[in-house]
Amino acid sequence: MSNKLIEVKNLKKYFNTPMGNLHAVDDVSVSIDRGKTLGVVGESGCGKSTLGKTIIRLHEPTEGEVLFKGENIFDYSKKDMKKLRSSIQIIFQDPYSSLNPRMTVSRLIAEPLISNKIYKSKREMEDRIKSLMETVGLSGRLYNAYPHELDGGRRQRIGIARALAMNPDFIICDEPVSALDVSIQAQILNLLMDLQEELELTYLFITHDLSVVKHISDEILVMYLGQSVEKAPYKELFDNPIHPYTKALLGSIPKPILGERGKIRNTIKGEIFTPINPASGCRFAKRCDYAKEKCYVEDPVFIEVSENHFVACHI
Amino acid sequence: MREKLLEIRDLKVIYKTDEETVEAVNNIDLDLYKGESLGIVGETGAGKTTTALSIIRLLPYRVAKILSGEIIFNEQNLLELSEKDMRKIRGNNISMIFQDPMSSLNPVLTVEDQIAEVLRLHMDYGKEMIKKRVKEVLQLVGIPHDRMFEYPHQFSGGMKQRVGIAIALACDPDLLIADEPTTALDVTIQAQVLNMIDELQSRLKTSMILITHDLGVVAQTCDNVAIMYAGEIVESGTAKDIFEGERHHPYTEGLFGSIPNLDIDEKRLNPIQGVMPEPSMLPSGCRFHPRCPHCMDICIAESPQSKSFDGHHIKCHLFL
Amino acid sequence: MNNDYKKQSQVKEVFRRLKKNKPALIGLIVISIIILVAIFADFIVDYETVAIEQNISQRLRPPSREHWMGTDGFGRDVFARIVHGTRVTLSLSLVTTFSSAFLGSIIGAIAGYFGGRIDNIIMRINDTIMCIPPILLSLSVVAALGAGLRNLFIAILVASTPGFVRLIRSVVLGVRSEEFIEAAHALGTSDIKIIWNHVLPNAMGPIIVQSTMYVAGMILLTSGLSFLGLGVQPPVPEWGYMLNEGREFIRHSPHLIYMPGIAIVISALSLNLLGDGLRDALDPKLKN
Repeated sequence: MSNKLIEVKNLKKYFNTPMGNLHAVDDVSVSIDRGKTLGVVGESGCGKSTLGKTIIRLHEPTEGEVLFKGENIFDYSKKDMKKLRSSIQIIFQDPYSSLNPRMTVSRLIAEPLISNKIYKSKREMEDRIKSLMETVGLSGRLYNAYPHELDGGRRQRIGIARALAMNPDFIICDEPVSALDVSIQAQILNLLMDLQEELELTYLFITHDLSVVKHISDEILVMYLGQSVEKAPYKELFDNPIHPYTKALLGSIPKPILGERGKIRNTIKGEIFTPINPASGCRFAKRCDYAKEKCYVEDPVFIEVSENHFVACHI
Repeated sequence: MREKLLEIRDLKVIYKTDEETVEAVNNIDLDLYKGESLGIVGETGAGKTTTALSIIRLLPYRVAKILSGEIIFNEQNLLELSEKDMRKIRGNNISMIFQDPMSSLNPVLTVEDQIAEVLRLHMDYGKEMIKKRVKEVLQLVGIPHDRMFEYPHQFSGGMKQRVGIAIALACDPDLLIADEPTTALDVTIQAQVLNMIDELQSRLKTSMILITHDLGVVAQTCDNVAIMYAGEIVESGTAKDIFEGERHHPYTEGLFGSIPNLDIDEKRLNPIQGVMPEPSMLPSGCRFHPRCPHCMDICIAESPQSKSFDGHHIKCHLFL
Repeated sequence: MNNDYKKQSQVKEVFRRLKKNKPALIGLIVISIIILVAIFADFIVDYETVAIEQNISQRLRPPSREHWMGTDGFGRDVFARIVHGTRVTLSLSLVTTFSSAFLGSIIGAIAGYFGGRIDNIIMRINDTIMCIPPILLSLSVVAALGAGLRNLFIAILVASTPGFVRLIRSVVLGVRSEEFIEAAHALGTSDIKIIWNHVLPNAMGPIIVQSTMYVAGMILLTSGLSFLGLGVQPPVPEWGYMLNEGREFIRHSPHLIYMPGIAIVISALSLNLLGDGLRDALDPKLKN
């Protein structure tokens, strides 16, 4: 029990749109142990980013609760929330738009320190910024550079330094490497893993790329149109995927190996739609090869099929 | 037996602005044979897109300058053609698929209008014929033709990219240039589109240049591969040479090491150290030497020549 | 790229970049000259004896050695009046422009940033004010408060701020959806700090450009009000008012129109050039 750092219970987030209620996150429950990583995977529009942003209340939830160290943060006042922001941090996807172009690197990293009035003297602050830059592998000569002068990898390092500035326990990584080149991607992933070991961080790692999440996650949650479809320890998920959607996701990744070309890969038909006022029944049914009548009528339940392996599917 | 469709020799392109000169493409050679597909792989700033835009002569004319080289397409040098002649080739003999299907379609025209536009430009078709051809190409890319009167916003991302491909294929081009055609798409949709591209390319016998940063995409669709780094082709050969060959350029090895492998259980990746050099300040000698694990003295001083092992070219001092 | 990113003082850095921009530099020089003229007007020509003293025998003279820019309907030296008019015109138009830019930015930023009901209330009031022609609006404000420089200032402020509010709001709406705003939230930054540190600096470009364009409009608005007897009182020299006075004599003494006209055009143009340059110089993305 005490090992659970964060527990999300029946979280729902609906957006009001002119066309009806958009069920961005629909009844998702997860928990993460201290020092572990939960990878959240899904395609665009599956609600994975909304999940992350709702957990730190960048969006207000529609229903449900998030227990952080046993306390429901949705009951927090604005003032409590401000304190909490130092223990929960977020790293954004796009290192190009998540940094204010008019601030220097040092000012960007200093921002959380200034906002939360951590240091009184300028000297201390400078030292802290320099040590943070070193931690994330930014050379000190970039102290007064502007973000547009740097490449994507370095910018993402700034984002990480900002998140680390408040010594958080929990970091939500919202597609932190999706905008980066492969060779840089690997550097950033390694950095995140090093930091986790060193600082005992807990991650919620959101991505659309299963191959990225494999390396860093202890457990993986697959989402489809706002709902959890499968959750399992990473090895189990890759070796023994159960849900047809998870299988399709795994089969769709183009592998850098010859000999697979021309063979019909395990792709799924159809397109993703938007979960506005969704009817009952499995949301994947329309694209599913194994769909039975029952799938169109009844909501599948998220059940444990083997130890720590949860699936929401009628089959 | 293999017939050359496109031959690039010694192409050098720079971008010149008031402040700096960027050497985007540096003396590259490329061959493409009829009916085959070539994948150009590289990271941001490697010069992939510049190469493609040089072929179709759509480089931003104010800043970009082609310093040397020739691009022979169907026995004529594209770089010597007038703008008027070039316009006849674009969309007709050479067509292009763009990365972002959201912004490469005009939102106020129906899908039919946009496909018909390129037909009206290049083909001597009557009204009926155009309509027939529009239906044909839509069927080709798997869009039901009753959707031809819809507007782009009524299509999802994957469907829009299909429309883009339909436009590119409308005039039956000899060469199709696809610039990161699936990067903006979700994996399951990407798999559908890649399957379709592969299938169409082999059925229609169109030659194709596929530009991507993803080695996986190349493995699924291309016969030949060229790997670009800092404006140079560091390695090129058949797909077999690149994916299964024994000898590799260190950069290629680094690229493979950076890709998370789904089948092997390893906790850490082996990325390439450092970052891409600033294209306005390329390092001396071999462009890759500051990041190369096998860097020798000669690498800093001298740019290596390309060496061929039965058509498998590697540009590295290790093999000279 | 390889040398260190040294810390430079902001002002120095902005000036260094401004210097590279030739048109902006010319604008800066001309504006500086105009400001110097305003400051040292008394040393150039005497106010009491030349600028406002009437001399009917010398009326409507074309430009000559004696009167560089000719004389007006009351025989006053036009050059002297333009020199002294610099003071009134420039200070009035600059002060009103920057005040309304400042006020408009803050109101616009609040409306755009918070959105929802606050936005609705502010913008509806704003739209109502914008519906009334500026001259009519200032007229009623001055009529209510009485004539005089201070009331003229208030009147112009009321009439010109809504334009800024509308512009800034639309710019802020764009900036607000940027991810770095969300990032700042996640770091626990307060709303006021976000507006001040993140939103407004990124809306700087349009604010500066709009301001410099406004200056010329302000000169004309001031002159219109002066003409109606609500602003600057004759015989105080003011460019816009001089334009209006000259209208009567446009046929045989056109210099009465084009002398103050040229003065207005030159100052507006140089402010515009300077504004364009400043916008670029203040944007770190356009460095080098």
